Amino acid sequence: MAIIINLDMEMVKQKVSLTELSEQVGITMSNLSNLKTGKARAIRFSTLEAICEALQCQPGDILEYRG
Amino acid sequence: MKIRVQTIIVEIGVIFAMLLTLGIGAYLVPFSNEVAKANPTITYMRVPVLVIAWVILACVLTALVLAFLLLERISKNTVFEPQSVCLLRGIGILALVAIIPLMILFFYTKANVDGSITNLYVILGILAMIIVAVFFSLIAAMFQKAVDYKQEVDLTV
Repeated sequence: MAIIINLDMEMVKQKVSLTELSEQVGITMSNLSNLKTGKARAIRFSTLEAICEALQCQPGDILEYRG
Repeated sequence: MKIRVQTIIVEIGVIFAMLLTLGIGAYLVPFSNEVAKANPTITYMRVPVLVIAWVILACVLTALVLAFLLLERISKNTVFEPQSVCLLRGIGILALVAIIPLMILFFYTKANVDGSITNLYVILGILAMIIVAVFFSLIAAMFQKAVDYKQEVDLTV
């Protein structure tokens, strides 16, 4: 897929673990893991908003398009 | 709960159909002997026709086993998965495979018996198998779409 998820990089920058992020965002660890590993096929705006809020970043920091 | 009860009822029906198929398979031996005694001129056809009938029954039995496995998946709530599509496709393919012995039976009877009424039933059987094959192939194709949609929903975070 051309959309790359850079969630792990943002998590390292903010020093947040997967467990902490899942608690803050309110989604399951398995869903977060799916997102991190690129298995997820789509992301809701509400999830993206919650992740951006938890990691204090912009959607563009998490999502990247590689043509 | 309602679906579980319905599934159990259909499962019982499928098991009964399996037993009936096995029973018919066993009954074919004495029945073929009776037919051979009644028509001594075509006794030589007994064994080949018996084998063809058993092959058709084997296809039916395997299709019933696949249907039973599919019902099990429904009762376990794991029906919208790629394996279910394979089971549906399998039933369709078995219906197509069953056409081969039916065709052999048609030509074998045509070559050996003039104006046999049996061939009318064989043609009807071939038509029924074609309809079953097309029906299950369509259902499998639709099911594949449903599985794709479900995966899309499941993988939306």
